[in-house]
Amino acid sequence: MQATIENIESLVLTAASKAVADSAQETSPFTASSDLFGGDSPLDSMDLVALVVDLEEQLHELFGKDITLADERAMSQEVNPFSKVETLTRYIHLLLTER
Amino acid sequence: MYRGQVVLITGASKGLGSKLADHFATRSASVIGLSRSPGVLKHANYRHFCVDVRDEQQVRVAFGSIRSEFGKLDVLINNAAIATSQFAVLTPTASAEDIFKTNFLGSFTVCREAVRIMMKHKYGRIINMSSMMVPLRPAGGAVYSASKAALTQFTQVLAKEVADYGITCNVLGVSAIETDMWKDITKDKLMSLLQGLPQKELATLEDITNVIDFFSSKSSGAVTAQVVYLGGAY
Repeated sequence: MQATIENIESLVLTAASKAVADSAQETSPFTASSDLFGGDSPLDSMDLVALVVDLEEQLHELFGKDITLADERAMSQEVNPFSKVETLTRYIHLLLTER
Repeated sequence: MYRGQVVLITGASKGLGSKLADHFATRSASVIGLSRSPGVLKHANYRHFCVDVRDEQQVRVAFGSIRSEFGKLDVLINNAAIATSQFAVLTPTASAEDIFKTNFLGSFTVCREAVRIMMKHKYGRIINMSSMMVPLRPAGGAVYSASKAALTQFTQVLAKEVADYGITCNVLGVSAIETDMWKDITKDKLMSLLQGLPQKELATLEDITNVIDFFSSKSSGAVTAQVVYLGGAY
């Protein structure tokens, strides 16, 4: 799999939907502009933990990289990577493509 | 008793860890041992990984193998620990750091990686091994007992964080058994420590496995964030 924005967004959307499904909530489908943290997000803090764990594992399996999504670097980004699907997608893309 | 279950034990190459590995392996569990030195247990159900729990990268690599080879983890016993008896005023910071790296940070890293697997299967039993040294607070045990007290606090908070995933987290505080972990402490000193307990004898392996089996049981889903001290320490 190529580390393209489209592929990564698909991973994030699937993982977010799964995190919500695991907590047995009924919500509208996630899109690129959906809130992940705060705002209208249906995810609570533990759902977000599950989402991050799931994504880190998938990134390892698909791209062979050990990536830590929730660390000091993520917290020091100008825009919180976890605010929306699209911000998390861009942040993961950055981590996967930087040298 | 544990057929179909995967059990991970740290500090499994000797002492109590090796005995616990044997306990689970002979009861049909698939047992994974982690320790710095090679495992000595020879059993068809036992698989050993040479891992220093103080090294996060080594732990992550081992868990990658566990994930691909076993696919799940049912029970984790954080047993790896180092014990010293030294007055705080004489303890070099490097020694204190080493004790915390093994007894607390090592257990933390292993718990974190284990929870990541357990969350997926919505089931897990985590048992962190502590000591009578925490409630007894003996002189000479400041750093060791502080490291175990930190582990207890961590375990109880972790229990809250993972409760929704069917994962329980408990602490077993062992009084004392004869292992080489206590090689820096004389038998006389150990026995005098035991005088502070209602039960003044060394614990037996059966005393320990009795509580381990209780915490590990599928029926103990409502038992979490608990600390059990052997010998009556409190």
